[in-house]
Amino acid sequence: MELTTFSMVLRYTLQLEDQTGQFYRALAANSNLMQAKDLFTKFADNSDRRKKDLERTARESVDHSLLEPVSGLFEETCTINTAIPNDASITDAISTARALEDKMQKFYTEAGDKINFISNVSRLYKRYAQDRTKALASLQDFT
Amino acid sequence: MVQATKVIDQKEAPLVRNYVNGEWVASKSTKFLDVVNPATTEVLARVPMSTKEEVDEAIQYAKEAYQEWRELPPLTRGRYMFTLKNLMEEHFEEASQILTKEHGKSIDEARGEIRRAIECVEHAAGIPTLMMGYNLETIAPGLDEECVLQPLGVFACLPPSNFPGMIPFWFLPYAIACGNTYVVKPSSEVPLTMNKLGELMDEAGFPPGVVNIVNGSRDVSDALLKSPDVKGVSFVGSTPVARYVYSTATASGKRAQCQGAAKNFLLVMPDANLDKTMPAVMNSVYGCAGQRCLAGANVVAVGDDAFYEKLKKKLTDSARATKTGNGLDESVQMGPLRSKAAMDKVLSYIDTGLKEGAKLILDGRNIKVPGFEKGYFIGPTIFDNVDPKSKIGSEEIFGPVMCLIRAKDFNEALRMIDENPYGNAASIFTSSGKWAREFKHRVQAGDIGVNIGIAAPVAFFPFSGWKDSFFGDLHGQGFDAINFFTERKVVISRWF
Repeated sequence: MELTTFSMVLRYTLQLEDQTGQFYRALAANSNLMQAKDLFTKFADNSDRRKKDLERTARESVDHSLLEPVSGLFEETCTINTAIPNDASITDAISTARALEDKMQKFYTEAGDKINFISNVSRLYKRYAQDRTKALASLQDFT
Repeated sequence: MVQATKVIDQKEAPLVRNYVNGEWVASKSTKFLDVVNPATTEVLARVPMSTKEEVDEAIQYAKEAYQEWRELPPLTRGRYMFTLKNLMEEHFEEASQILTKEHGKSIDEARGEIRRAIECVEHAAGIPTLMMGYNLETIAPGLDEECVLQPLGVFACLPPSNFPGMIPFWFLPYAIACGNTYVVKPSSEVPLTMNKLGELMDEAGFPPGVVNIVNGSRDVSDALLKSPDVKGVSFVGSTPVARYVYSTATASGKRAQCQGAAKNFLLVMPDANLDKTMPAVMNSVYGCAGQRCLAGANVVAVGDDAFYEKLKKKLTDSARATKTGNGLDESVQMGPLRSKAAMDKVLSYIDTGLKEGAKLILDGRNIKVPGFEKGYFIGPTIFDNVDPKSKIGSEEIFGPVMCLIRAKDFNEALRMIDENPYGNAASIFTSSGKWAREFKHRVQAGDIGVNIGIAAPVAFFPFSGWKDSFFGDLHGQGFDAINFFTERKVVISRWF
């Protein structure tokens, strides 16, 4: 589905962060993956923080006079896979996490450009894109 | 209080109450109007046409409250603003939903409107600084002079139906922060948002009588306009009524700031970045279904035929892609017209355009919105080759209708704006600093956009309509609001 309004973009982003947070919480709770527990917990906490910041910043920044239609941004380009079996190995978990972070990084970059009419939120998206790049590096270091 | 969330059979629809002297009271009136959700046509509530006696009573309570309210230190009055701001944040989504239901605008637009209302409260919270006077020592040997700003008494507001959350807040927070007391008569078409904000003001704990809400129609307005106890009136609406309110209020010595209609021009220069211009023009023309006094109405292509055709195609493609529907659906970009009467008026203008010979290249009539077949919808509409002096090219349509106009050069385009009786807003889209500078310097309008479709001043700047778009001297918001709601007192002192 195409995300054609600011609200749709925001709502979808919150869904993604929700999904991401749940994914990392599940990994952190998995006894097979204890060696990465702290990293996954940190990533889950970051998702929660981003959700709160996004909701607040969007609420404080939305302005009827600046709203513009959004085009060319589709949910399908950032469908993330968070399904992972309970007996997954650390390699599988890190690999899935890296794919997720890579998609999120691209989504935040693209969506940040599309909603540049609400500049505070757009800036936040760009910062989160950088956060995801750092998360990718952390995952790389871990392996 | 009234809950605008359920639908209700007309007879069962809750009655909107007045807020007078810190109490929610039922009007004694036997006359009511339905408050109708324009997307669904369901009756959300019924609003009373309050009587003159009820207005007079509210004014008297406001007058009594003024005596103590004005004595509070500005810092204390500012603290009420902080409390109100926090409550508005807390109830932000609820207020936005109510606004969309009663007005029809998209939920994003409603959120954006409530945000603007909050910004005015935030600005007014700085009243200790905003209300400072000035002084000069030694204006003559041993003499000092100072100017202080003092409140005047009871003020009133008559807001329109298109921004029931934002427009009362261009005035109300400033008026009461300055130490005045206030009576609002919400638009009878859309009283529920103000009703919700009234609940928040009640919860904020303003002393009884500082803020009062009296629902009704022209009788209520006239009672406010003619009361000798009301010191000033703020109005936003059509130009004939703005003129009436201004002349009636000022005839009895009141202050008045009255905003009227608009016909805003968007000039697109050949050097404009068209890809970035399109979304801004779409929001300007079709945002709030064109029911904004800052809405772009006449899009002027400045240049040759090839540029005109190129712009026309881009505009038509973008407009065609605009999704019309129930504003509560987050994918919707344009909601319905506010009422059946509003829709009929726009349809009538479309007929007029056809009779005048303009070419209808995108026809929004008869649009079908699945699930909302009874709603007051008109889709994005574009007239090609419009004469700026024709009826559709010169009058405010107040709907999602774009008039596309040709101008051979910048001067011809500017002349079109000059010759239009209204002067609320005008925008230019260009990559040239020279054209931008020329435009903002020469154009005869009060709110100017450079690569901006809706040049809506933020809380700290005045909302500056010109010509037949404004009657008065001091505008809403900004320092103009502080000056409107205060009187100057000059004190010259000498001590022996």
